[in-house]
Amino acid sequence: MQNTAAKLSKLPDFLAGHPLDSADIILCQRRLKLNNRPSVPADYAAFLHFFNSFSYEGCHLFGISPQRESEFDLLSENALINVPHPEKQLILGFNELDYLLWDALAQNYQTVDKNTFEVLNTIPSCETAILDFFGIND
Amino acid sequence: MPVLTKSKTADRLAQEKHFVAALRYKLDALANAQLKEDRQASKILKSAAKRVKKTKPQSISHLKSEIHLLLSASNIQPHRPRQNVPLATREESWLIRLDWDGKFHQPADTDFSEAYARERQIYMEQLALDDTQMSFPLYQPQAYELHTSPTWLFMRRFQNYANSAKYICEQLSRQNISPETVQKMNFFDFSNVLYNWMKENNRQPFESARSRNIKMFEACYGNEFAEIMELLDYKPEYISRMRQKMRNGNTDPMINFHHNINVSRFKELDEPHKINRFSNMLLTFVQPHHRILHFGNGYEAPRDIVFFGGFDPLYQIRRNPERERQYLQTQKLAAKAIKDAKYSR
Repeated sequence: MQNTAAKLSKLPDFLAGHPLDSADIILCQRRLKLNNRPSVPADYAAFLHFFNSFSYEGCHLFGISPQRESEFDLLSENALINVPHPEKQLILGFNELDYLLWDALAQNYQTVDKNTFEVLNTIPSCETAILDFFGIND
Repeated sequence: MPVLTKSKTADRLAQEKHFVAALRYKLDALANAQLKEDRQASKILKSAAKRVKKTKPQSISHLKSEIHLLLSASNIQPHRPRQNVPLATREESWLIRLDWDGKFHQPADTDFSEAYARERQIYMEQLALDDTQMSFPLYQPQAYELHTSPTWLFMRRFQNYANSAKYICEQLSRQNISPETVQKMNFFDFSNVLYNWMKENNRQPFESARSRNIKMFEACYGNEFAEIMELLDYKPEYISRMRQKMRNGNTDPMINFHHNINVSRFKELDEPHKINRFSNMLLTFVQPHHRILHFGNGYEAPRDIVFFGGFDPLYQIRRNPERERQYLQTQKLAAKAIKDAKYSR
C-alpha cells in the first residue's frame, strides 16, 4: 500500500481528509456489522491510514469521517446510495460516472455504473483497483 | 449578471449557505435514519463515539420528501427517463468512458473477440523475444479497412476515435493482426490496440473529452465563473489558480462534471454519440450539488444551466449557444491551421 500511497501523493493538487483515528475505524466497522453491511476490507483500511479520503480530477475515495468534515464519509455515503445488494456491496468511492465498490462475497473490487450498477471492471487487488480508478497505469 | 448592492449580495449568500446547510443536514439525517445506532459503542470507544454527528431522529420517508421539496423549490426536478430506450451495453459503456476520461482500463481476457485474442497472444509472445528475433510487420497500415468493422462504424462517430484511426492502423500492423480480423474486432480489442499504441509511443492517442470540455468552459464562461466564485467568498488567488487549471484541462478536486443525460441512457439523446459533448454537460460542486443530482433515481437541473454553483440562480451560469458555437469554430480553424502547417513543412 505504501507504493500506491506514494504514487497518489505525486498527483498534483489532490485533496485528502484529516488523519484517521483508529477508534473511528473500529466504530465504523462495528456499525457496518450492526447494519448487516460488509466490513471495510483490510487493505482499504490500510489505505485509510495513508489517506482518509482522497479526491483528484473528478475521482473521490471515501474515508471515515464521523463528523462529516470531509463529506466523503464511507458509512453515511453507503447509507444514502441504494446498492442492489447491501449485504455484500460496499461503495468505496466514485467518479463522475462510476462507483468503486468492494464485493465481499466475490472478494474483489469492481467499477460499476452509477445508475445501473452494471459491473464494468473486476479487480482482485485493492492497490490495482485504486491506481486503475485514478487512471495511473504501470 | 445582475448588479446587486453589497448588503443584498451578503443576504443572498447567507440564504444560499443556509439552504446548502439545510440540505446537508437532511442528507446526514437520512443517512443516520437508515443506520442502526451502535448503543454499546460509547461504553467501549467513548471519545470516538462522542465525535459521531448526531441528527434529530426522523422517518426516512419524511426526510426523503423534505429533500424532494427543497430541490423542487430550486427548480431541480426528478429525472424522467424516456420510455423504451435501451440501456448502454457494457461495451458501449467502456467506449464512452474511454472517450470521456482517456483512461485505459484492462479488460478481462474473456472480453476480447476470439479472432483478436488469438493474434494478440502471438504478439504478446513476440514482445518477450529479443529484438533480433522480432519478425517484420506482415501487413502495412494501409492494408486495414477499418470501415469493414461494425464496431468501428460506431466508434468513428466519436471525434477522438475518428482522429485515432491512423494510430490504430499503425498498431494493428505492428501487432501483425491480419486485416480480415478487423471486421470481427469488438471495442475491447480496439481499446487494447490503442493502449498498446500509447505504451509503444509513450503518449496519449487523444485528449479526453473531459479535458476538452473544461477548457471550453473556461474559455466561454471563465469570467462569469470567477465572478460567482467571488460572490461565494472564494479568495481571488484560489479562483485564479482554479482557472489556470481549467485552461490546462484540469479541474479542482471539489468541482465535477455532471452528464445531463447519463451514460447508461445515452440512447435517449437524438445524437447518442454526442453524450460526452459540452452540450450535455454541467459543471458543479461535488458536495452536495453533484451528490444531490444523483439522489434517489436522479434529479435534473434545468438544461440551459452550464454551471450549477448554487441553488440560487445568482450562482448559476446560463448557456450562451452563440459563444459556444464561436469557440468551437475557432478551435476547428486552429486545428486546421496546425494540420496545414504540418503538411507544408
